[in-house]
Amino acid sequence: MLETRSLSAGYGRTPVVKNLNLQLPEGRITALIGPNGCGKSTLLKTLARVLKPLSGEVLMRGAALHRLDDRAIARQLSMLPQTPTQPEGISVRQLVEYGRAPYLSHWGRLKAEDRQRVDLAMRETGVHELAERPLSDLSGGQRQRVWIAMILAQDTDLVLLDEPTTYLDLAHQIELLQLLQQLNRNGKTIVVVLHDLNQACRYCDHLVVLREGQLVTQGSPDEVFDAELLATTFSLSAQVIRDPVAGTPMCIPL
Amino acid sequence: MRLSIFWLLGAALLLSTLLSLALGAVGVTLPDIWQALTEGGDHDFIINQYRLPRALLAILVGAGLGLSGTLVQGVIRNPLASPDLMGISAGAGLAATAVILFFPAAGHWLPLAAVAGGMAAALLIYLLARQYQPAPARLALTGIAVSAFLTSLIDFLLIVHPVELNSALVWLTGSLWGRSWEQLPLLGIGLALLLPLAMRLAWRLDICALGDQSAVALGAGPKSLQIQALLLAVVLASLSVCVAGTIGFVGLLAPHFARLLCGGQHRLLIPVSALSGALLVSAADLIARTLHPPLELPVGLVTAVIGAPYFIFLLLRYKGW
Amino acid sequence: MANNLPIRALLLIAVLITGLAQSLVLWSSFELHLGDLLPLLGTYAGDGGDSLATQLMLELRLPRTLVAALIGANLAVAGVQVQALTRNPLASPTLLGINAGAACMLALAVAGLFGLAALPLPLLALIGGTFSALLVLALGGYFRAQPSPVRLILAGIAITALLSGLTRAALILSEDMAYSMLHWLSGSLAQVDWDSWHQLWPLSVPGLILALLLGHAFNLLALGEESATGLGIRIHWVRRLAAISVVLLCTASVASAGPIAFVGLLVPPLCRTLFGNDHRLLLPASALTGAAFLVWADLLSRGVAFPAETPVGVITALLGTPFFILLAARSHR
Repeated sequence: MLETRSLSAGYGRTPVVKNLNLQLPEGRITALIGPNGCGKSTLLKTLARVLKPLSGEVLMRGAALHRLDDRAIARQLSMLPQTPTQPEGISVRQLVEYGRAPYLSHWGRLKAEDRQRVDLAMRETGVHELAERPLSDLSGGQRQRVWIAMILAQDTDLVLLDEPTTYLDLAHQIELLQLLQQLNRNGKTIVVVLHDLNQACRYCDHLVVLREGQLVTQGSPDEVFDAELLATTFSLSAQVIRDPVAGTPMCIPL
Repeated sequence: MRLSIFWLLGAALLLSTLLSLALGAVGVTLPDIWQALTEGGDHDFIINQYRLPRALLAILVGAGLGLSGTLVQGVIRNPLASPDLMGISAGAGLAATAVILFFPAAGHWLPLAAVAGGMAAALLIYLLARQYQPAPARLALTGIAVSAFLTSLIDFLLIVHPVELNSALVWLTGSLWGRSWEQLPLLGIGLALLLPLAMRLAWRLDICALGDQSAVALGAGPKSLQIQALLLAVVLASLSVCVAGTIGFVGLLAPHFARLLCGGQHRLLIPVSALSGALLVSAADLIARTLHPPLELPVGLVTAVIGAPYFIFLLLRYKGW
Repeated sequence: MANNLPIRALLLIAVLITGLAQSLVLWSSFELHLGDLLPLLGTYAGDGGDSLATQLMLELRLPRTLVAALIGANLAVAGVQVQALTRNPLASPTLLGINAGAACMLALAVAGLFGLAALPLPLLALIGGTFSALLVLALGGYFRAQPSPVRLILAGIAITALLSGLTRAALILSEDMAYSMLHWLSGSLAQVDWDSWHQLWPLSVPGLILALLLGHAFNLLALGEESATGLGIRIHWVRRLAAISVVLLCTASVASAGPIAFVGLLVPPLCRTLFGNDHRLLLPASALTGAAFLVWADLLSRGVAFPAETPVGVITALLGTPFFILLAARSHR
């Protein structure tokens, strides 16, 4: 549903992602992984059209992304940045309502349907009890849930997330990944940049491994995740064993 | 709750206006004010020709500056930004001074010149910001520096052409002294046209506050919004400067005051900051006139003495160093 | 760089001397020529020369030129010290509010508030300048673990706005004194005479000497406070002495010519590129450059709208602010 054709992207003129051909499977959770500076965040930002491609193109359902109308794309594709700016003086509900922006008329009035979507999104993420609280009162884990609720209110088939677990403690990281799995079961295609390889193997269906801006390999964790990959891509000597709980691959550094 | 904010500000504004009509070198009682407003009488001149237009101008100028400040802060996402600190007011002032000095006959072009000057200053800041991409606090500093430069150019012009010194000086210090009904329509019409335009941008300014990445992802491309909002802000600030000179710190103070009252959503923030700005200038002008009558201070001095400590308070609280 | 250092120094001195000479004769409503300088020298040698030209130069031009040169040196040296102390290229005495504080105190005295008028002018300026500098440093977070350069400057700007608002209010409310004070407030050398000189040098000379003595300590301070302490520098004493020197230099200048902005900002970076970062050389070089700069700026201020006088503070602001804009916009992240 989302693919790239000989895509090069980066900041300024130097490409970080080079000549990348990639197809992201529909209805799955795809993790973009790779060592620091491999271009995974750059790729995600280009997919979300925050960055313009230097050359090549991004296709969504076969149509070139940069030719489509901004609001039309925003109804199909949403994105949570790594560190979103938190506006001052607004409540949880108000933030989630911003997710309806691509559907609003010129004056920005919410219709009944918009309100329903907002309520639904807050219930799905379990923040409806916090609805009237000011955003600044919340803990880090709660706040991340609210941001996800905003993206859900945007009601898109495709959801991109840039390292959503970075500032959370372990319990909240797991909670968030489970939430992503649940959203995926409800029919959303999810693309997420993750740092923790074991979490990527356990919670995602499809791994895209990048190194120095180029595709190393892709496939399900069972197919691609092994000691050789860790040695060549991450320069890490490790043993790969089965996760005793979920049965997915898991790396133990030597 | 939301309505009560408007009632409260409206009542305060009414009170300040009534006091402006009543107080001064000559005290006028409430019944006399009423009589003067309805049928003229003894105080006809002092109320209808002198104090009333001035009180109304204070309200309009304040509303324009407050609104302009909200738009600038909303776009630049910088609590330290405001039209006067970004050099917009100084640019408008410089252009207007030049017109007064070099083309004294072309008085009716004054508003246009002021707007053009404000635009030029804003463009300069924009180019500097694009070249060096400064952090928010540094951007504020750059604006202040540009402002200082333009102000010293104004000083220079005034000193080199001392003939016209008086009229330009009176006007530049940020004062409502000697203003009459003539200036009211310009500002009134300007505000009536621009306020709805600003309201139309409100919800997109909210989205803009989420940061560039989220704004793009939500389909509200920040570029065109930023340009529209800044244009509005420049026109509003320049018109105010053109009528009353540079009244400092109102564009900084009013949006913050409004944010305290009604939170961060622009749908409320825009009208409330206009009201707050109006209240601020109205009250400041009242103080400036009544502190030591018949002498009066330029209203810009009063707002500076109120505004500078608040700016320091903002600095102490600001975390983004 | 070291090889042509003497050449640069000589050039600088030449610029200064030409400035001094031109300042004595140029832009006068009474026609003067460089040749008239000779009888002036003669006056000091003891033989006659009481022509009108000589009188004019002796009574009006000479004090004005000397005051301009000394104030330029004062402000530049103060600027070097402030920048070394705060390790902040944007800092200068003006931006720390010293000038505004001194001016505000003087204006309050003129307005007859608090019986301040009984005190001598330099003392008033001293009190005002010290007070506002301390206020700016405290609010700007200078005494914290990691001071932010931009915050310090923004605090300085806010305090300056506040103080100059108060200054102008005091002047307007005191009516009759206002006009002459307003001229003085924009920093002007027009009313300078021998009295100003006699008021200026007793405060300036100790300030300059103190600064020159601290040169070595400033070099070590540039390594960071911990290293400087490790090398046996008593940081607190350096700071206190430097602060005393800065306040002496600035308030003496403000009291005689009003606040003249941007000399302390403009000259030090220029001297750093020309003469390097060794403060033992930088401080005297800045003094000379500052003197030359202000003498030439004063010349310009007389000439630009001749025969009207433009306050020299306006000229330095016009020259200084574009430079400041560049410094401010360029981030050092």
